[in-house]
Amino acid sequence: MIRPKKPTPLPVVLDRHRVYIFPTRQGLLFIVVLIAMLAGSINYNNNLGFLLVFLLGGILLVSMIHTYRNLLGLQVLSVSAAPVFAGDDAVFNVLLYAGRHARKAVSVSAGQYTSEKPDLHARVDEGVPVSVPAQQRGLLIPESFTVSTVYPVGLFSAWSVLRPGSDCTVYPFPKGVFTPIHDPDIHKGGRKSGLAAGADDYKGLKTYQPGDSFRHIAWKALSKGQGLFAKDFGGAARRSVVVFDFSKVGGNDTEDRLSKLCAMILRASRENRRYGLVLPGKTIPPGSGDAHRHRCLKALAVFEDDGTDG
Amino acid sequence: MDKRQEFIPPILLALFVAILPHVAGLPLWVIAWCAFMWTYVMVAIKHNRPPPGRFVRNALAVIGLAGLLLTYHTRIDATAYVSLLAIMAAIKPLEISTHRDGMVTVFLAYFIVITSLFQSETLLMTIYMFVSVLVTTAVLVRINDPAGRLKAHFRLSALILAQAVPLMLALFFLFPRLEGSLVGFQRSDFGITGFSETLRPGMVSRLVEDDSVAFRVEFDDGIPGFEQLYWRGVVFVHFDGSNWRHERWLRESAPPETGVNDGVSYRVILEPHRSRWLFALDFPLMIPDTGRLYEDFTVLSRDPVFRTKRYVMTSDLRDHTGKTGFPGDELIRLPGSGNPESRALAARLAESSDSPGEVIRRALDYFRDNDFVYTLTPPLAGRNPVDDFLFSARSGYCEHYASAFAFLMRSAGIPARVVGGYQGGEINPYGNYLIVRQSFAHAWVEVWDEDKGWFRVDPTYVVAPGRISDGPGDGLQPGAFGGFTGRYLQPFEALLRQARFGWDAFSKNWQAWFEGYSVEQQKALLERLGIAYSYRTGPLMLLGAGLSLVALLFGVYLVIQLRGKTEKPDLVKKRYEEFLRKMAHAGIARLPGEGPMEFAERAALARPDLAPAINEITGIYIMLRYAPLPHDPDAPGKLADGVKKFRPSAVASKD
Repeated sequence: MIRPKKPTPLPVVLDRHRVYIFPTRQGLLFIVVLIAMLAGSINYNNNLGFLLVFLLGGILLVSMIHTYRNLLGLQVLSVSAAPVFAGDDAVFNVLLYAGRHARKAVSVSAGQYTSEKPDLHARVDEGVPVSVPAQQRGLLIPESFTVSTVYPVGLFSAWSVLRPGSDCTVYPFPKGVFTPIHDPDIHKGGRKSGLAAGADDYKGLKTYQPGDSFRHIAWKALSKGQGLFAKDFGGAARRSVVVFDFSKVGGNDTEDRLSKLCAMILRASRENRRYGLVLPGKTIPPGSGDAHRHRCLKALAVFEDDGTDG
Repeated sequence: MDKRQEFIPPILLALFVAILPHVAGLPLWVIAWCAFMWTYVMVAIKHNRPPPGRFVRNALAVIGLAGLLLTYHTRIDATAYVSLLAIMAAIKPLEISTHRDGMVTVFLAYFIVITSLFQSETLLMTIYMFVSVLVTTAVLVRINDPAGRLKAHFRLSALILAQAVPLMLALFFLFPRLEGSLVGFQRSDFGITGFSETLRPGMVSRLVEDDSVAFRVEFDDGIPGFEQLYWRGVVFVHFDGSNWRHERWLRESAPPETGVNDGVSYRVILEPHRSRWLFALDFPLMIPDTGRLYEDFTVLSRDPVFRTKRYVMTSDLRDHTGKTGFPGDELIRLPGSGNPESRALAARLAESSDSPGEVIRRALDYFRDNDFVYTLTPPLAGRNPVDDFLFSARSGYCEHYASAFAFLMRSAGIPARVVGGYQGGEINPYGNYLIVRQSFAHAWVEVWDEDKGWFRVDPTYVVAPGRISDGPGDGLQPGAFGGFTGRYLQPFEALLRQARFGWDAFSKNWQAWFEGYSVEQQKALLERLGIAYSYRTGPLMLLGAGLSLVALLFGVYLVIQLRGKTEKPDLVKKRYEEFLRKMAHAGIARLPGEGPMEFAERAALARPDLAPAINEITGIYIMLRYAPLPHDPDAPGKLADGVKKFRPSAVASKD
């Protein structure tokens, strides 16, 4: 089977160039059973036996079309995964769009990890979550995703292999009791006063500014055509600015240090601080918010030790 | 989710439907075995008990096989084979835990279905086959879609079946049939009814309540009177004191010289009875090629009749054969002792008569004058069954009369033999043919005379004349036909009879056409299409034609099923792609795997001047794609406008 090794741009329609079909193992067994039945019918010259064998053969062929049809025209809109910490399961949300007719029992698998969706309704996007264990920090990129189905009778399997190249950022596993944030050693830039409102206090809508979190977009207002607004939660806290420096964190090895940095960033973020990150070869200026946090943690995730042990 | 709960009850249903036609043929313990295992499985599932372990299952398999071995020894015939399948079908549900197990068990059900077809090819069976395939396929769908509703599964199964039927018909008509079979296989005497080689008291009477059809007959010119319809099957010559036995070693013979050359010609459609007897009206003149006529004027098929058999015969309907030579001492031989009173009676009759004819007449008078009773339930006979019958019980069915009469004749020195077969028949008004049921089984006597040769004497006729003129039920003691049918269905009897005749006519025509479809019909089919059929290339041509037709049908299905099913690339996606193209021109291309949100975030950071437009387009796109329905109906238009107006300048990003 020749499969294109090149990445699959999403969204993609599973058309007849992409959908393969072949009998399942049970389907092959069924064919063997049919051949045995045919031999029996020939031997006994039994017309009713012939009738049954050909009926079952017809069912086999017809089921092939049903199985094929269950996959054909399905659209894979996106494959995305929220970042996870090492040791968790990366959940790739494979977003499917059934199109004009509903589909049943469609599975999506990444390697050995499979998830089945019993029903895909017509004209609705539905996500199929595929969990893949994320063992190590970095970018987890499953080589391929296979969308497949054996519905309705399990004699044929139709499948399509996609290489969306989607990744899941796997942050380092946060660990360790770390040095308090106020420690002057890792404290740079001093405090800035001005404690803002609590993060959860919803203040109303404000005009969307670049850099505002997408989570705060006011969808309702947008859909009413009122323009793009963000929900104002009082803005990020600006209590103090800290910078976490890889070279100043104690630890056994690189991974240990990254894990500690990870925990520090999480805490700083929880406490609504402004924080920055300094890694060998990369510096992230202080900031706050979800995007900033992700930027920092991603830097940790993809950090490559060039051998200079700081 | 526990797979067992979802799979097993429907699988049990499929197995049950598949085994049902076998119930009559299987040993009782096998049926009990299935019932027990399936009940156990259902109870275990209900109470969420784990399935039995491997050891228990293996032990059960061994016990089952041992039981089979004890029942059948080494006789491997069709019943043994079906029993084996049934035992497997009983144990298999205990170990279903995966999808694969479920599928394999359903295949087993299909396999059991075909075994019942090998035993019966009737219209009823054909209909039942479709029903069981419908059920089994629905179960197969259920296994592969456990979350769905059973009703929907049956509907889909019916749809698949309906779509498979044209393919089935194409293959059925065009798949080349062969003559004869590939390998011989021992067929069992499954559900054998009718005659065996020995006539025991009670053998014929047990058939009286058997309504199944023995054979059907079509006459070329009109159905003869019932008194003439003696269907000759087996001739019994050896008497051991209570039973009459058939002579195995018979010479072939020419038809009797009755002096009649153009008898009554008729077609017999014989139901499979697993023996070689071919029933013929007394006395056969012309027999089919596949049969042989023997010296006792019985006709035997060359091979046992396992499938419905059609043959044409001609018979002379007179009650005697015409002059034949003395049949030999064998025909007056009796056991050395036993039944002394009967022998004495015979001696008295012989002494006081002048001719064999008078002996016969006076013997018949004896039956007429001594209040003999025609009944299905005579008292049990003792050590001298003929004496008991003639002098104390004086009640019995036709075999008792025939046996006693032949005994008297032989005791009086007149060659006599008992003939087993059928008498009469039922006229089906739809189609005007004769149905001869097992219940028409009869036994009568043939006596040899120097002038007439063998001639028929039916002592039952003397006692119960209605038996001959009106069918087997007539003349029986009341109460013989009790039961449900007799008591409650009386008012509907006429209607029922009519329905039964209609069904019989239909199913006879079906059988004649369907079962008879063979190489000759295929040849005729091709020739009607203007293609010469040769036995060498014909099968290949048929196979080619069949496969082409199937391919054609398959193609038609593909076109119908898949036409227009691929959704046109949707406009929302198209607009967004246009936006992406414009962004790419502006120097910011979406990375593989980058979601729309991520991309917008990155792009907005890179080009703050475009941020509001980027965010608006992305926002609407995401809403149309990801937000729950219903969407704002204007949103697609806004997206189109937004993308259309979006004209990013190729300014280098100021990162």
